[in-house]
Amino acid sequence: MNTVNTHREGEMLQVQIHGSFNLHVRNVIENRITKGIKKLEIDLSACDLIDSEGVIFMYQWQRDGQELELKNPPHILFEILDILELREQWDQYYLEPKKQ
Amino acid sequence: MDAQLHISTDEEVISPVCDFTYSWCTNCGLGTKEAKRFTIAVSELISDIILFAYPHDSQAYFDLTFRHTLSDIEIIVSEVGEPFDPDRHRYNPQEARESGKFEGAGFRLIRRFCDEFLFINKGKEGKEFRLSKKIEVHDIDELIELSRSRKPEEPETTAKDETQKISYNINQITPEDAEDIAKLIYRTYEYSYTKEDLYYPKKIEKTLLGKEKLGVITRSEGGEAIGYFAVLKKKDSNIAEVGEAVVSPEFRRRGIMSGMMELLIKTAREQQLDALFGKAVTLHPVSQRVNHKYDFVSTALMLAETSNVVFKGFDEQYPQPVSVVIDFLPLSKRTERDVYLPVNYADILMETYNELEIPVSKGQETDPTMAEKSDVQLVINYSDATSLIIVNKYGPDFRSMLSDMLDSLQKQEDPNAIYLDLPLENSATPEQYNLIESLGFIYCGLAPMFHHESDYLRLQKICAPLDLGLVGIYSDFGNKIKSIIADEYREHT
Repeated sequence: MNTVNTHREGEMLQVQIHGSFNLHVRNVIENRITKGIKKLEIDLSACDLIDSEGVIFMYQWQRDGQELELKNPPHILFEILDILELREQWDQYYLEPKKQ
Repeated sequence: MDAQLHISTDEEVISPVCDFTYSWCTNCGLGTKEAKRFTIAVSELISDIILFAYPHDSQAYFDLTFRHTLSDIEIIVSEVGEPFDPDRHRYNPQEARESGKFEGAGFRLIRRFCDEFLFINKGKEGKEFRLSKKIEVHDIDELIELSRSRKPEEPETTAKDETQKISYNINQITPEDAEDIAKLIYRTYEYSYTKEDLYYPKKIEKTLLGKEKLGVITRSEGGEAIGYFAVLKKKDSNIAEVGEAVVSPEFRRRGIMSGMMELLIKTAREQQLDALFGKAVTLHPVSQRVNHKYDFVSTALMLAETSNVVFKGFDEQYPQPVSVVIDFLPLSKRTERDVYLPVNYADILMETYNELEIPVSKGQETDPTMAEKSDVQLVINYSDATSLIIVNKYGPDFRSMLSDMLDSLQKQEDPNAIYLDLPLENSATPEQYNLIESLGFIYCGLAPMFHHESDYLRLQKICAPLDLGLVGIYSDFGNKIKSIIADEYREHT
């Protein structure tokens, strides 16, 4: 079954995805991002499938200067980033905030 | 298991459809990693349809058809939304990185995660997207090892004296025979047999359990499998294709093949099949000769039908796709029917009916009834680079729809041949044939009872260069069909 659980902690929204990260899940998360949220922590431990909607959503979130923390991202996420030729930028966006 | 889903353009359907797709893929034999990638491709496609195909409808519907064979899976997504051409929506990674424009990203993933991705424009009838993937079965590795370790000696050194009597018995096959059949195929052809499925015991077993296959096996007195012959039932008509035949080389010329064919025809009659047919290759006369020995009649010549024939011992390098003759054997008498024949082919079609002793009368219809919309089915054979278009009903848009489909196929698939089946029991066929004459189809022949127990005129559009001198036909009537086709082929090339 596909479910999205979210929990807000100050400026951070914790998201737990069970099943697929697709257009529907992307829209659910976007609806739960309220004013003041600057960081997303997405737990993908139980996420079996992710498509370009999920990947592009996370890419753009970081591209807009906001922070993303992933738990147990599936290998297919990085394969999709490679296919879309976004891996280099993704690594920059993803790793830079953690270096500071 | 084939299936069809009729789903709404509601994004909540994406996950359940993906769950089903993944499960279906693994059930069909796809590995989990590839099943996941293929499911992502489906997710991409249906997301695009939900987002873009129906911008003015709050809710619309579209269809997913799941089809599989023993060696590949195919999902056909059909919708009637806004006109669209995926080629105009190419992904540009630089633009994505610099300005956040991700148009075409989904299509790039689809192309990477499928073996084939086709877009078929059906004009007013909408669009079809076809995603397919070959199923790799790892059992073949085990089979190779097993076969290597027990590789039989060359037939020449072990061939038994042909005059020496041997005892054998022929029985109907059961699922338990699957492994012995695969081994027999390997021992006979190593890995050059055209029907790859026969190297996989599990696939053979599946077809036997599903009752798709009807066959016989010959065993020596000691129980060794020495011959196998089977027919495959057609899904859309009560006829079956004589598809698979093999006799171990050391036991040939002892009447085993004849014995199996006789039992097979008898069994097919008992099972109340209407007819048997075979697609006999034309690079050697063996299969055609066997068919004619059992009263099969040549009814059509399909040019460039397969690229996958490598019969060990029969050919060296055949320089072009292989053409096949359809040989047909009616198993029951049927009552006379009206058929509507295009003028150009009325004579040869009537002659073919006479050869088959199938009674028909030429129907006359001055004002044929048309359907509200065309009903046309497309079957793509990716490995042979051919397609078959089956017309069930003619609508007013038939010609433009066919023309659009041909454009889509030729642009994306680089086909060797496209075949077109027109229903001869439909009174609109002569008139519709006249409308499509300019699309480059030539005669192929009669396809009796090929779909829904009805007769079809098969036409063909040949896209690969062919030397018809290399197409060898065994029977006189087959040669008559060939000469008509050769004349038309010359005119069109």
